[in-house]
Amino acid sequence: MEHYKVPNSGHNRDDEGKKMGMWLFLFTEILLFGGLFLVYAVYRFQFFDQFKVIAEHMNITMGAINTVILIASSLTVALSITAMKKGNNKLAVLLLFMTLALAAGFLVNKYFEWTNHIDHGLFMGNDVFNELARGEGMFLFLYYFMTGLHGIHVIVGSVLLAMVIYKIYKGKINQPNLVFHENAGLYWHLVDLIWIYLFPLFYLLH
Amino acid sequence: MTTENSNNMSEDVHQPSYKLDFMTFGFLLILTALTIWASYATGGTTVLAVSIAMTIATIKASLVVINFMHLRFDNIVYKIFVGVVIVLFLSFMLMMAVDYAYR
Repeated sequence: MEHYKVPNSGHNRDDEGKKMGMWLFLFTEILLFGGLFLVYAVYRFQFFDQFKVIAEHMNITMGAINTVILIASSLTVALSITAMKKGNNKLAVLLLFMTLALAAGFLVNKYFEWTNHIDHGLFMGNDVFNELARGEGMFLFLYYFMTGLHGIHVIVGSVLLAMVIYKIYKGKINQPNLVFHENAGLYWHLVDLIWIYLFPLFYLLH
Repeated sequence: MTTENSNNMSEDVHQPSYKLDFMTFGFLLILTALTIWASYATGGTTVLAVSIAMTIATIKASLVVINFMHLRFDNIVYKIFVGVVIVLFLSFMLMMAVDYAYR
């Protein structure tokens, strides 16, 4: 069998293609959450009063703290990319570690929030939950499903950012070869973007 | 001198900067505080409250996309790309809403 060698193989990069691919992927993510937001809108319209009653259990302070944490993590990711573009790799790595710490803070906060609700019986299958009105149960189901799915995105984003740190250490990410770092950043900002809508819809209905 | 300054300025506009990142962060914090305050001021569940909350959320999302996601510095193709997707997404949402409301 004859083997063909592609000229310049291994030396060409398609940063624009990779970035375009990432944006396309982000659009599918928006459609995924968009569908869930539609479900939320329909049930909220249908069970307007029940949504309001059960939303009283949401802790606005915890939600607000998590919002600030995610915005701060978006800042540190954006700053890390800026730092890499200016050739300051050490600062970029420090900022990425800060992002990971903030992500962990977000998840710990969410853990305490969820366990608090579960301890009060507000989880599928518990007696207290079973006695709730249908709309109240629907609100809680959507709350767990959407914030849970968002939490999974936080974990995936953290893994991607940890990979960025590793690649910077290994010298695989370096100015001007930053597309992996930029794409991981895009994913992280999407996580922030989704939370920007989740926060008022679940926490500010009082 | 003037030419050099103007060159530097035009470079700043087309490159991410720490200042822009911090300014965006500041605006996002202010808007978060505003959305919490507005929810108390408007009662949280009225049509006005939801409209205000969604408007502020959209302004925040735009800031993230334009400044943090660097769409501001990207090629025009990405801007058109994102614009088309937003229009499509809103159209789908609107069609579903109309369908549900008149069902």
